[in-house]
This record gives sequence, structure tokens and C-alpha cells, in this order.
Amino acid sequence: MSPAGRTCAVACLLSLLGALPATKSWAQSDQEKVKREAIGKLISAVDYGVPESPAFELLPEQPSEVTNVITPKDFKSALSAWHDGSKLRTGLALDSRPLVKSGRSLKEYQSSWWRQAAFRTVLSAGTSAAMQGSTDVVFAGGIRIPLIDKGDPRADAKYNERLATLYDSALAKLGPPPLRAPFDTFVARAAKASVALEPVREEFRRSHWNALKLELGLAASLQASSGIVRRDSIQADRAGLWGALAVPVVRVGQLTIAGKTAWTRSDTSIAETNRSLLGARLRLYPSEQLSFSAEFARVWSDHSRDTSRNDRWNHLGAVFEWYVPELKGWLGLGYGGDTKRRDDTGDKLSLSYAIYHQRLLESSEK
Amino acid sequence: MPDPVIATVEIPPGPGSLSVELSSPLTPQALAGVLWRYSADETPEGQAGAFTPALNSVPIGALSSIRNKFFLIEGTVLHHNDPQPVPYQVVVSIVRDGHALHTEVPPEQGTGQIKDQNMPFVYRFQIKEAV
Repeated sequence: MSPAGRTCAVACLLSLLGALPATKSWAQSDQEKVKREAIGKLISAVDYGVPESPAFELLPEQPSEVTNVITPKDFKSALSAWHDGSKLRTGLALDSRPLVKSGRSLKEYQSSWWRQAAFRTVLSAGTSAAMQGSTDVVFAGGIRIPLIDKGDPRADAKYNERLATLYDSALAKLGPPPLRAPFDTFVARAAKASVALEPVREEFRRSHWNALKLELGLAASLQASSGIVRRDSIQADRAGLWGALAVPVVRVGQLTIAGKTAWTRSDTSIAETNRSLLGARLRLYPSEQLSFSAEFARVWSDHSRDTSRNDRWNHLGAVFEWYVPELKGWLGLGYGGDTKRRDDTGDKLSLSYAIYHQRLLESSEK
Repeated sequence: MPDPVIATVEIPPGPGSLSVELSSPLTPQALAGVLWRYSADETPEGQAGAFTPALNSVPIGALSSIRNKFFLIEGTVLHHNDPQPVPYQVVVSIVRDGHALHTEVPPEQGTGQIKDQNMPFVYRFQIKEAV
């Protein structure tokens, strides 16, 4: 499209949307921010992946700091430090790759999918107060198993060979170091040589952002009354199961199919005891100026103590973003929401548009 | 600052060419690096070879030809942007006719953890005939 034609198209579109009168001040408009947030909610209401650390999803409060432990022995000793005499401490979180040594050498890793899955598996655990001001403590443990990851750079022999060859060439260009040079000299030389690898790393990231992935997650939590770890003080709290399959759609898109289910212990009839979700999301980035996202999810809400409260609804969302150079911003269009729930009078679906500086469908995903 | 350690590797006399191998047997890590050679007075003689994941062995010649030479492996463990730190251990082997005559973990950062930064390691050595 010619620049004149594009300008005309932009003007026509904005006029149709009724936005043209506001374009002079759109950058400062709080209303535009609210509209952008409304569009953002359409694509952030449902998470179509497996959480990095499933255990933390079951904690009432997300941990602010997570300790990474390396070996199962470290994991065990870290967990024992959580126990203060007879009580559990709160606000602790850790994650670990317990099967990291099953990866063995790079060649063995690259030729075995199960070694890759085991190596990438992440174990997590955390504690939190059951609610603000409560002395009851929730302990959650979980596991995340990336069964297939075609975007795993470690598994790509050609990529690793390319990195190493580039690194060696960069070192060779620096010339031989003195035999007795201090180690700091080598740290500085390594930093210089590593710069040569960045474009290759970036290229790999860009070409593998939508690679085939299959992940599973599992977590469960217990509640300890007053934090006391004793059989008669502990009861089951919640459990969750996640699964996600992401497949590439040509070079510019990704289709994700995800499911999750979470059980919650309930002492009352009004509380939800299970929520399940099955959905799919398609994201397309045909160019640097255009992006598109469409998603659909079915949600089941069950109440085992009073099945009359059970509910089912659909969530759908479609967002289109176009970078308009004339406005130096993004024009976003969104449609979606949730279909009618048990207590609603009708579907809550709406059409929104906004002009904003920061895109919603971030290209960092690419 | 203490003088860096230069390992003396003693190997039994015998014919055949020697080579230096790099490996990471415990966890899957990509290793890269250059093997530098130095004369007896420690003057650099240049590159003896380079290591990549596919070519992890560098031939250095027969024992008689390297008796008074020094070597230095300037290596690195290449990172893979791991979300959690991963332990690594680099092993250097001196090999003759497919048999490892000596294996050692480089004392200068040959073990550690890696996450999102390349981790350099160094191994300085000379090879002598065992008496």
C-alpha cells in the first residue's frame, strides 16, 4: 500500500471507530489506557501454559524470592530448614532440577528425548500463610515436566557447534595469552569472545520461539493448622494438574492447546471444589507491524457439596494490533469476554479499540 | 597474587601420538576453547588446536616432540539460558591410541554452576615421561 493510501486507510478506519477527534491527545488519555487494559484482559484472562513452578500456583501468596537448589541433597536440607521445631515457617520457596545429572554428556542428551525431559524437569516447593493474618500454613509441592521442547538450544547439535566455532575464532583473534596470566585475564577475554555469539543466540531465539512443546505440571498442597506439623493438624488443601501443547503455525504463528484442572478442599457448600479449563490459542505475527491473537476456552466450575451451583461457560478473545507509523503507536481491536454464567443475565462479550504506545502482543514472545 | 598452577602430567613412555580431550560427563554442556602451546621459556608458539562439541580432541604430537613444551587450555562452558543454575564439571584427558593416560578436572573453574553466562575455565600443563 502506498503511503498516501495507507494514511487514507488509517483515517477512514479511525473515523469509523470514532477515534479521529481524539487522536491529537490519545497519548495522554487515561481513557485510552483503560481501553488498552480492557483489550489486554481478553488475552490475559486465561493462561495457556504450564506454570514455571506449579507449586507456587497453589499458594495463597506468590513467593517474592525463590531459592534455586542444585542437588536432591540440597533440596532435602533446604526443606528441613523450613521446620522450626514443630512448626512450619512461611514465605519460603525453592525450585530445583532434581534429575539434572540424568542428562549425562551433551551427545547422550541430544540422542535421548527422555534424558532431555528428565534434565528439564523442575521440582518446586513453597509455604505461605493460609490467609493474611492467619497462623495456618499452606505447604505446596509440585513438578513441571517439559516432555518435548524442540526449542531447547542444548539439544541442537548444529547450533552448539556454531556457537563453539565462533567462540574459538574470537579467542584466536585475541592471540595467545601469557602462560601465567591471572584468571581475571581469561574472564575478560571470555567476555570479549562471548560478544560474537550474541547474534547467533538471537537468531536461534527468533527462529525457535514457536517450536513444538509439550509440558505437564502437577502440584498439591497441605494446610497445617497453626503451622504445626502433626498428623491431626494437617489436611489436604488443593491439587492441580496442567498440560499444554504448543505447535508452530508456519514461521509466524503458534497454536497452543492447554488444559488444567484444580481441586480445592471445601468446608462449605458455596465454595467451588473443582475448576477445569480446556482451551486453545492462536497467535500470529505476520510482520513487525501486525499481530493477531484468537483464543477459546471452555470452563467448568463444580461444587461437590451443592451441585446446583455447578456452572459452565466459554471464554473467547480476539485481538488485532496494527502499528500505525502516522500515529507512532498501535491501533488495537479486541472482541471477546465470557459467555453467560449461572447468575448472569446474558453474555459478557464486547468490542473494544484503543491506540497506545506499548503493544499488547509483545514481540518478546518471538 | 600466587603464581598459577601448571600441572605436570606424567605419562608412561611409548610410541603414538598424544591428544588432549575435553568432556563434560556429568551434565550436558557445550564446551569450546583453544589449546595454546608455549616453548620451554614460556614464549607463546600459537594455537595447537580448538575444541568444539563435535571435535573435542586436539592432537599434540608424540611425547618426544612436546617434552619441553607448555600447554594452556583456554576453555568455556557455553550457557543455554537455563532458568535454574545447572552444575558442570569439565574433564581434561590426555589420550594415546584411544586410551586415557591421565584425566583431571581443571583446578581453575573446572567445576561450578552455569545459568545465563558463559563460564570460562583454564588448564595449564606440561607433559613429561614417567620415570
